[in-house]
Amino acid sequence: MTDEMNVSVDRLARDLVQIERKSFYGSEPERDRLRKMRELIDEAVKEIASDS
Amino acid sequence: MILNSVTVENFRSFYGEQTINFAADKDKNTTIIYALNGVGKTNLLNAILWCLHGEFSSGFKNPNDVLNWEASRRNRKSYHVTLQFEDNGEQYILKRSGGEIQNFKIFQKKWDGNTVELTSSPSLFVNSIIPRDMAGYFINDGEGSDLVVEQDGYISVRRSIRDILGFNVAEKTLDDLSKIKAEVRADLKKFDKDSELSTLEERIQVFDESIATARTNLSKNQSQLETYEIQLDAVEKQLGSSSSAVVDQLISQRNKADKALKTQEAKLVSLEAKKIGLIRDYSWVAFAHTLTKEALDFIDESELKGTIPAPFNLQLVKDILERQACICGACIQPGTEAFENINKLIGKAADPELLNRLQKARSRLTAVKTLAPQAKERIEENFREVREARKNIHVLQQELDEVSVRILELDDTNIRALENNRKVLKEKIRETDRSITRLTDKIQEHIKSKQVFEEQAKKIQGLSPRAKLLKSKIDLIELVEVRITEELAKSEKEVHQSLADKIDAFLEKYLRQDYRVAITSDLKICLQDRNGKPVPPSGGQAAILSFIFISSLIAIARERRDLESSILTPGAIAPLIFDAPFAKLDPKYAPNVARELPKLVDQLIVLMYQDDGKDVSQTITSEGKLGKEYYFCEEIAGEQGDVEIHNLNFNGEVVPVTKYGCPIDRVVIKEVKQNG
Repeated sequence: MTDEMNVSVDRLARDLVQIERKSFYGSEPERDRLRKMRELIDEAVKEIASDS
Repeated sequence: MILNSVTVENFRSFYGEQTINFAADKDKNTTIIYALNGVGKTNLLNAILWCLHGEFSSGFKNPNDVLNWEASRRNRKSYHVTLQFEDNGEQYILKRSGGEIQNFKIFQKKWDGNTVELTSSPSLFVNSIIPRDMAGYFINDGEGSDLVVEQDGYISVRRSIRDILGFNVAEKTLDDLSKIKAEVRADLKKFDKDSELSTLEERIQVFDESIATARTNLSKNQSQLETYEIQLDAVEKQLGSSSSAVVDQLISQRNKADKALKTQEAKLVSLEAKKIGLIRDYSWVAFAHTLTKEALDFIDESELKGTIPAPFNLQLVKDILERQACICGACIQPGTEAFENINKLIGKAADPELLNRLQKARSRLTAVKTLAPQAKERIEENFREVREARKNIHVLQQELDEVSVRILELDDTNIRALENNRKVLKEKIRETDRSITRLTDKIQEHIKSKQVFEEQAKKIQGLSPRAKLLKSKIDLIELVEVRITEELAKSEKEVHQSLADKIDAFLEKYLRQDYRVAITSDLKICLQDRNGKPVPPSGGQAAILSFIFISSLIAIARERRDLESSILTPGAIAPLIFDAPFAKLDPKYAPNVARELPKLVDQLIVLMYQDDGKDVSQTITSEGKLGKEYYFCEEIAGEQGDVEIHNLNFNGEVVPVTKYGCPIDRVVIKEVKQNG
C-alpha cells in the first residue's frame, strides 16, 4: 500500500468512527448514520481512483 | 470533570428542591453522605447518572416511577436534576427534566456570572466529558455488582476494559462496515454478468466468516488454556505445601521427572527439526546415487576411448589459421597443403569449454559419491537419537503416571482431591492444546485458500467500470476494517500490562501480602490467597477485588483523558461516586482502602451509613481528605410508636436521622458543620 493510500485509509477510518460516535452518543439521528458512511466511502473510492 | 453541586427536585424520595455542594478541593476532595439503607443513597446516585446520560443503574428499582410521591399528590408533574461542574477550567450547568416536561440543556457559566446555553448537542457534549459507557464505573451503585463471576471463579473484565478504552463506537463502526460491505457485494452481483467475480467474492466471504469464527474460537481456547494453567499452578502449589513427608518426596520425584520430560520433549522437537534438515540436505544424494555412478563411468570411459581428442586444442587451431603462422614460426598460407591439414583438425580438436564443463560435472558427481556414505551415517544417527528420545519420554511418562497413582493411594482426602483435580486440569490442558493447534492450522489453511481466490478475483478482466468501482469499494472497506481492528487489538494489549501493574500496586497498598490477583491475557481476573488458592468471589474479598478493579479502571481512564487516537473514545476524569463501599469490607482492610481511595481519584463521593468501627471517616479525616459531610434525615408523617430512633454523632453532637410526626413524608439533605 502506498503512503497516500495509507493516509486515505487512516482518514476514512477516523471519519467513519466520527460519524458513528455522533450517532452513538445521540447528537445525530440513527437513520442518517449509514447513509453518511456510504457517502463517505463513495467519495474516498473516487478520490483514490482519480489519484491513481 | 469535577462536580460542584447537585440539585434534586421532586426526584424520588427528595421532595421540593434540595442541593448538595460537593468537596471540590484538590486536597480535601472527599464528600461523605450518610444515610440509612432505603432512605435515598441509590436515588441520589441515580439522580446524577440520569442527569448526565438519561439512564439509571441496574439497581434502581421502578425506573418509570421517579416523581416524588408527595409532589405527585400535590399535582406536580415533573422532576428535575441540576448538576454544576467544572471541566478543563470552564464551569457548566447541566439540567435535565423528566415526567410531563422532558428537557435536557447545558449552559456555560461565563466569567461575569452570566450563563449561555450551548447550542451543540448536550448529549454529545456530556459524552465528550464522561462517555456514557464509562459513567457506570465512576458512578458505582454496588460492590462488584457489575462483575460477573464465571464458573471457574474468574471474572471477565474484558467488557469493562473495552468500555473504559472507548471500544464501543469503533466496534459499532465495524458492524456497520460489515453491513455496507454486504450491500456492495449484492450490488456487484448485478453488474457481474458471468457471475464469475461474485462467485469468487462469495467464496472469499465464506472464508472470511470461517476465519473470523476460528479466530474467536482460538481466542476462547487460548484464554481457557491460560485459566487452566493458572489453576494447575495453584493446585501444584497447594500440593507442594503439604506437611506430609511422603507427599513431599513424591512431589519432588514428580517435579524431577517432569523437568526431565520437558527436556526430552524439547530434544525430540529439535531432533525432528534436524531430521527435516538432513532430508533436505541429503535426499538428492540418496536419489542420485545410482545415476551418479553411471554418469561417472560414462565420463571416464569416454576419456579412455579418446572420443574427446585432448591433444588438439580448438582455439589453438583457429588461431594458427587466422594468423596464418604456425607456433614454430612457419608461414601457413591458405590453399597450401599445410593450411588444409591444419584446417581439417577443427573437426577433431577438443573444445576447452566443453572439457571444462565435463571436469566440473565430474567433480560434482564425485562429491555426490563421497557424500552418500556420510548422508547414510548422519540420517541413521538422527533416527537412532529420535528413537532414544521417544523411549525416554515414554519411560518418564510412565514414572509420572506411577507417582500420580501413588499419590491417589495416600490416606489423605485433601491430597487425593487435589491430585484428581490436577489430573483433570492436565487432561484439559492437553485437549485445549490440541484444539489450539487444530484451529491455528485451520486458520492458516483458510487464509491461503482465501488468497488464491483473491488473486483470481484480481485477474478477472472485462468488468464494467461500475463493477470495478464496486470492487474497489469492497477492497477499501476491508482495509478500513483491518485498520480499526488492529488499533483495537493494539490498545487492548497495551492495557493488559498497565492493568497488571496497577492491580499489583493497589494490592500492595490495600492488602499487603495477603492476596494476589491472577490476570489472563484476555483480561480475566481472579483473587488468590497466599498459596495461590482461588478465593470465592463473594463477601469481603469480592469487595476488595471490586475496589482494586474499579480503581484500576479509573486510573486507566484518567491516563487516557488526552488520548489522540482517532479510533478510540478518549478516557475521562470524573468523580468516583461509591454507594456503600465499605459495608462488606473486612475491618482489617477498610482503613487501608479509606486511606488510599481519595488519593487515587480527583474527587470522591461516598454514600454510606455508619462505618461500624471500621474507622472509615476517621481515617479520611486524619488523612486531611474530608471536605464535606452530609446526612439524609428521613421525615415521617406517622407516629413513632415503638420504632427506635437512629442517631448519628458528628463531633460530639448527636443528630437524629429519622423524625416522626412531621407534616409530610420526605428525605431532607442536611450538611454537617465541619470543625474549624
